[in-house]
Amino acid sequence: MSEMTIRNRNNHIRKSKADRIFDFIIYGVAALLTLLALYPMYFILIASISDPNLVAKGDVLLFPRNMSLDGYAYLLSMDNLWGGYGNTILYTLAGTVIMLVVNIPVAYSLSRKDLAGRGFFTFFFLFPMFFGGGLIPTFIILNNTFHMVDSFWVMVLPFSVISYYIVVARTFFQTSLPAELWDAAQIDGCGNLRYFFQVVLPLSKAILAVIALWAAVGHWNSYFNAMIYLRTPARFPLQLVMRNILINNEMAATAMTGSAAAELNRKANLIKYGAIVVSSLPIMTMYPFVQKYFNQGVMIGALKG
Amino acid sequence: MKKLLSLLLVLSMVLAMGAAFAEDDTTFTVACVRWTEVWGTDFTETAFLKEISEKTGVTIEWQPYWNGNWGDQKSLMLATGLSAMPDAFFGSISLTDADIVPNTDFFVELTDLIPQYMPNLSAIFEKDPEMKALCQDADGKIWSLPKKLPMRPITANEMYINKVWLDELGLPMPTTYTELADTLEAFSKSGEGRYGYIAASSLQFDLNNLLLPFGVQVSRAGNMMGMDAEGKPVFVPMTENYKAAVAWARDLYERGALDPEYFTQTSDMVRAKVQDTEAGPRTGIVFAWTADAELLGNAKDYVVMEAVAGPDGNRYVESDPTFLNYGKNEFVITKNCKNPGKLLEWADQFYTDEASLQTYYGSIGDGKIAKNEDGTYEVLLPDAESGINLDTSCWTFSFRDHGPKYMNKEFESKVILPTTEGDGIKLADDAVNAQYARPTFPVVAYTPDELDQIGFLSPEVLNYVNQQYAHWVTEGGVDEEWDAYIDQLNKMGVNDLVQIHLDAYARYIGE
Amino acid sequence: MRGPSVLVRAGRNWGLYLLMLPAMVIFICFTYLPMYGVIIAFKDFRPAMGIWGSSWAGLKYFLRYFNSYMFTNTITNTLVISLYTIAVTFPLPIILALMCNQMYARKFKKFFQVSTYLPHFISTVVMCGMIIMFLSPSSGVIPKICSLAGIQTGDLMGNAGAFSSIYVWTEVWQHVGWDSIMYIAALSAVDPQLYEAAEVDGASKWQKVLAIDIPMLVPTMITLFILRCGSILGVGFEKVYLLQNDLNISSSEIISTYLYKMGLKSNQYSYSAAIGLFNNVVNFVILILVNQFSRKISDTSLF
Repeated sequence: MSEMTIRNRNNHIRKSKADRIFDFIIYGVAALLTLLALYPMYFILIASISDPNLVAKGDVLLFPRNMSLDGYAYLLSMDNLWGGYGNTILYTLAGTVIMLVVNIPVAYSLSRKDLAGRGFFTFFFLFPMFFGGGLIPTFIILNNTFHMVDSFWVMVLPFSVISYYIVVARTFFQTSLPAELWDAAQIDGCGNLRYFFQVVLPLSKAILAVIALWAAVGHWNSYFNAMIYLRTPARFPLQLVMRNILINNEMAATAMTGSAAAELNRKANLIKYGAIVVSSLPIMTMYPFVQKYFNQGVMIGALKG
Repeated sequence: MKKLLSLLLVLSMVLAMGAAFAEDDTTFTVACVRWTEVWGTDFTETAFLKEISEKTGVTIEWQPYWNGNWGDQKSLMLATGLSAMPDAFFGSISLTDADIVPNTDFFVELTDLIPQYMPNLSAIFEKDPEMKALCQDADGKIWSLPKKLPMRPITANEMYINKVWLDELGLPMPTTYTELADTLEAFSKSGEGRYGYIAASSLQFDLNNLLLPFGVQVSRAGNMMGMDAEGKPVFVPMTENYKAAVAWARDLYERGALDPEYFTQTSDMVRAKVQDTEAGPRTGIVFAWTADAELLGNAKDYVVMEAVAGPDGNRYVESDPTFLNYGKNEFVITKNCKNPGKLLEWADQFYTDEASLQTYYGSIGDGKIAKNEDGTYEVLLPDAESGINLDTSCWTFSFRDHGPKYMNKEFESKVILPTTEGDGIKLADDAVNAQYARPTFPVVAYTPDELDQIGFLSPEVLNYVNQQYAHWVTEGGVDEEWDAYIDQLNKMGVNDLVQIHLDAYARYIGE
Repeated sequence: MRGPSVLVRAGRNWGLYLLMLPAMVIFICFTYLPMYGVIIAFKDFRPAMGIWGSSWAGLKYFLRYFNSYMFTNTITNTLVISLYTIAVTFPLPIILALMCNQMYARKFKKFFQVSTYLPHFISTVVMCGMIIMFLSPSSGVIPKICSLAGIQTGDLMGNAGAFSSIYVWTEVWQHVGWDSIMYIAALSAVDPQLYEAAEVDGASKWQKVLAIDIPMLVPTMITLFILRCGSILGVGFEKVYLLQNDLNISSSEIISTYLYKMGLKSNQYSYSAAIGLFNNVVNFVILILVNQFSRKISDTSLF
């Protein structure tokens, strides 16, 4: 059979013709996509060190023009930048841990077919994806009943249950955990909690990594909750600090008279692209560390053992 | 010994209580909204504020908010109720009629308190009844304090033309709208990337700038109401003048006088095209408050133009004093305030000439204004090392446009402004066109139901009007499609909308 | 033989309930308690009267919405954009993950993965600014490239018909890499022995993908698809608002941008609550329908 793979003397698997074509297409398309995806990032990088006017005119395509680090200098000189960074790191770390602690166990419990009242609990955790009271009553309750407004906790606790994460993690548990595993553990006298912590979690590194990544990025990029629930500038996360500089200027320009608006716009444009680099760099570099959990066969060792 | 101790105890309790009451009575939380955080919070610690604080014995705790976030925060604050609110709001960008009028239960009525606690303002009401009419609601009650900005021009935006290009092409200054169209076309043809007029425009802006020769000026309040030739209010996008104006704009577009990306580019892209000092500006005309406000470094190439004559032979310039120079809702007191009288006494300090000067340019005590021996005041330019222009300095070190103010006309002549930038230039340019200013649809007060209706009907009507304008300019067809357009507007309820504005106007005139 | 009763089962699995406890407490306090706010949609909410003090409006705001001129237009635009988005952005991350999974050159694979997810981090504001710039007929890079190929694009941003395509394909550009991470993680749980067995059977790479990879992803795919359908009327506000202009507004006015413009003129608390509730109900109904359908044809469903 000509399609069969043959091990030659050096033990390399010589690929068949169909496989070679397959590979070629895959790598070819991948290369193209990489270029397409990298271009906006590359553009932002060169735009952040170019003259903003030339950028907006479309003169900056492959190389920076009129290079200057003024944008970054201005960014780094902003008082609340480092404070914002610190706050964001704090909220992200705490928030991610809390999200994992809160959501993953629920997903596991809901994945168990023998959970009594499973329908009820599934409904309980999924219903708020569609209906909610809205911003106003949530704020009133957080403010009047729980006095959490303008505190550290409001940034990491009240909104930590995410139905979407629960559903995704539940699917993972349902498809990747063999039912026999629990049966075997039960026979050995293992309780639910011990099973969860000692067996399920170590086997679920991939989904834990995904949820952790989503949670971390979600926290890192968020500004809306901070804008609504925080009052003290010292508590603001980075995204809110950036937004305050960047977003306010279009409105001001149309309603203000005089040249102060033009100054504001000029400053905002200087840092527009640099701000993305500064605020996203840390989180962008996180993925490679998380990636190792996505490697093949992460579960297999455990099964065999 | 026991008696002494108990006496001391009672005394300290009384003192503490006294201090607490004294605190309550004279410390107030005031929220103010600013355009941007970039300017910092120096404006809350000016020499002027310290002076009036001492004079009235009032302490203010400022709570600054930034406009970009304020929309959501305000909505929430109002919905949460008094417990989330400060004692007062400062500046008309904090609360608008839409926030105050339906919710007067939150606020303290000032109608009777003003004569009692505010001598300066009461005197102003006597002298200038328009100020009083300004802050009265539909029932004649006063819920907020008004302002009149000092050193303001009569005109708003004016047209600036690229003198360098005119000279290059050997063209005279256009004086009529047809000459203008020809000049713009010549500009477009004069060089690569050059256009007669480059903008990221909208109908609202065009009605008050490019299309002005047709007499279609509208209120800056965004309701598209204007005044016809007889001085009666009219909904401009349904008038014959408007139809003619659109046809002319279409003509300009077809001839290439307008940048083809007129409706799709962003302001950033426009700024790049006109502010680039290396390649030079690419637009023949701009409409601006002052040339440098739009052109920054390229301003030196442009001169202010006398308004061109329209088809009816008249010249028009944008002028909207009730919107730009006067204001209401500059200071609103909530029911949280334990001593509104005292707070109003403090607010009254803003209504003197010197106060209005300092809350507009910066404090004398901070070195922003020099008070001279001969009774004149000189506004000083900021140091070169601070790197900011005069306008930015004013915003940083004073409330600028926001907050109660009133400067008498006579006092204005005592103020010396720099001639190289800022208001000084504007007043000089203003003189060119001030004579052509006409009354426009004023800022009027609405009842809560009317506001509701406006909120409901406006987006549909305005969307459609804007959409048709863009379509007619880029693709033509205003004459053929006009009747269908009017029909459609009628179906959308435009007549109800206009009637609301007319009713509000009638009330305004009645006062 | 009857199984043990509910209570007995519950008692035996008490650990599972303990695991759910923290989330339940948080949900009750911060998500279920505030649900009373949904009545704002049925009242004439005036902040000064509070939620309880405001007068009842019944279905007034819903009827107003259904009768408004913009109703059909905004819903149509929202649906068009939403369905188009789902149709394109649903399968592509899966294909990307499958592709990635087949790469053996580790360094390139890593580089590829990181590159494709990077655009996800660009803020919407900057992204829209870039889109408008890149599409500018006079100075944008896309029209320049197209004209080299002989295609005249015209002013794409001014073309109402092009709006949904611009929206959707830039969504792909920005998010397809990030969205594929979920599937890559799911694929990592495939037992490598399956691949080895398939190879012995003489399967080509393509056949392996069909027989092993895709079935592995199916439960995740179905679940995510159902969830996607459950947000069918939820097209995001910011991106559409920033890409809107007077020439494309007939296609770009969606429910959330229309609501925003109303809110600029007056505080339409009740009206926006009514529209929000209506959206949620529609989303929910669609979700139930899709879920039931999925139950019938596969054994994966949300509930």
